[in-house]
Amino acid sequence: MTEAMAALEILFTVKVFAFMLMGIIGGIMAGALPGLTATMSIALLVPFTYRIDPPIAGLMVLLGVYIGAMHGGAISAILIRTPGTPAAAATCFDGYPLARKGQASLALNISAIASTTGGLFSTVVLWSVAMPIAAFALKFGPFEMFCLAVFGLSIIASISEGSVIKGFIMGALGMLFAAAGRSTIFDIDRITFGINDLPESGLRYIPLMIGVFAITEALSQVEMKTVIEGRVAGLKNVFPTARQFKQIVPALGISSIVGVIVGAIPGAGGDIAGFVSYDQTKKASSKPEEFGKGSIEGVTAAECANNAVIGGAMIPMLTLGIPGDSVTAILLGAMIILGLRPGPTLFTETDPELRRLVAGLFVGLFTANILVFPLRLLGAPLFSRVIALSRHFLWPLVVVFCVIGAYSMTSTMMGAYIMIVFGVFGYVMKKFGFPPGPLILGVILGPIAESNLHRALLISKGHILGLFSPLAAILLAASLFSAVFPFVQERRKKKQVRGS
Amino acid sequence: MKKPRDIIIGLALIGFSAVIYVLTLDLPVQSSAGGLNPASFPRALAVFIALLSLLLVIRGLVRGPEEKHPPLLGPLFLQMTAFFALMLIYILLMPLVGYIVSTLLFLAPSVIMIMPRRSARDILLGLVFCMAASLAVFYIFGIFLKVPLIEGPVDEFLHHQLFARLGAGL
Repeated sequence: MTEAMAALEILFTVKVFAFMLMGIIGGIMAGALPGLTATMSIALLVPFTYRIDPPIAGLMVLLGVYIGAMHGGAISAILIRTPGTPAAAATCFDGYPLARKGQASLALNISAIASTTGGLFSTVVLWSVAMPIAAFALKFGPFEMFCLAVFGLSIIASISEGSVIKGFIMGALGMLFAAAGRSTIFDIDRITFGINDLPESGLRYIPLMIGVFAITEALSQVEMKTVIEGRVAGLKNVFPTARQFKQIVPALGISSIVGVIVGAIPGAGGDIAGFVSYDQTKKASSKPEEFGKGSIEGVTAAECANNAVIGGAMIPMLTLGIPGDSVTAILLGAMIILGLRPGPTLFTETDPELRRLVAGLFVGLFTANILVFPLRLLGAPLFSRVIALSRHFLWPLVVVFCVIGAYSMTSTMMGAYIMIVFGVFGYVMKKFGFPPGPLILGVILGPIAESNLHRALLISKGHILGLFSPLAAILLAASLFSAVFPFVQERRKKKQVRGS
Repeated sequence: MKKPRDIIIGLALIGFSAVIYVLTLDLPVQSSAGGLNPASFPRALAVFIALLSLLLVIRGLVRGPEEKHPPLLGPLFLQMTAFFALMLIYILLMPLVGYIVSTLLFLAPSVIMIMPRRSARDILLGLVFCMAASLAVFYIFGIFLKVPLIEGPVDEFLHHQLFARLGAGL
């Protein structure tokens, strides 16, 4: 509680508050621009935020961007039928038809109400369950931690769009890239390809992420012809009436719960939550025939759920150190750079500065979810104009940010070179249908898996069978299920396609 | 061949795994008191990648309908290649001439190249944007946020003579 009060005091200093506001506004703008996702924006900003003093201000920028981007995705989904972020895909179903009927502002404001409700609800759930889960996970030994990392890696199967095999290859490549260079476990250089000044793993993976997410996207966008449909300017603020508000209340309830549950399942992100919630809300609605034609309940369902995912996804990330998707993987990496250790020990930190940072994280999440609401309402006309920002200005500028960010992580050009190499790698792999998300999971979880397995084997003097506990067995069984189930699903889908 | 792309990338990844495996041969394999050795993890990963890649190649050769991928070369592939070349020149030039000059030399041709229309007015507007963006980024990141940037003569002049009077930053 003392830390929470201290965090609150720091949070409401002009500087920290201003950084949070900048993060939220920047996040909404990034989310509104198709191509600039929350993942990419956070990857781009990590190098800058870890230099901000106090560190809590840097953390607030990242949280602000995450929340802002999830909100912003709805703007382009509603106005131009292009989801700004993948999580806003289901918002297009009813948001765009509403905009076509001349009710774009109403759709935007309903999405703001729904997003804020989902975000706040998931934050409260996170507050309630994080400490008990982390306290339980504290009982884990090194082998259980290894099994937990294996479980985290097994979700690669779920987040691999297209081919599960390709997802696993990307995950293994990520682990390999993380293992390259100086090994802190063995104090030895490994697979360096003769490069002597490779930065240490933690500093290396930010340029890697910038390359894979931002440079790859910049190259892909410059290669494409883009046509924007819909109206992006000249909005007047229209708020829902009391009757309309009453109509969306059940949708808010269903979607908040669906969003948190889906978010807490590693591998299932905002896009899945949006679709599941949309489907459930339609089934429960008294006007299901309106769905797909401009239903305000449809917009509510999609937007509330994809924002409720934020708190849900943070449950495994903060309590077990297992990121459920690419965004939380990058956030987890950013927290490690800031000195935090997401996982069971996060809540037992003894350093007062780190304790304040942990408390600040929770308080900040809540505050950002409240702050984003008036910003969305007041700034709707401005944010809608952002979509019209010409891409010939945007993508070269994104590259400039990438280069500065990658350089600043290492203070040598090595960071920029690593970024370019992985930008090309990501671009080529994208062309061959390999998803980027598993690579980041591999980079984050690979070192955890290796170091904990090494420690466990040292303790058992190499007897692997002696390491098995009921908990480890459960975790390994869950990993096996998680890894194999998508294969079964993939086969079933293919059979259905062939059958039809 | 049903999926030529999978076969090509699968074979390339098998080759990459072989290279990684060979690189681990020089690492000490003696483990201490039953733990892993420095080579075991990368080797296991190399073998894992090679096996999955082999599976990809086999699948590509014998079964399944052709997967839908985006075209290998996008409609503006040449533009993308030129953009990448400018990016490379940018990071090679930066240590030599500093942030501002290299950024201007990257931004101006990139922005003009990607423009859908290139009227004199648009080009002028683009150049003004490049100049303003380079300076704004330099001030916000280099001076206000104190992010390290490579400084050439122009950057040093602006940093110490002009921007220093505007404020020291954080």
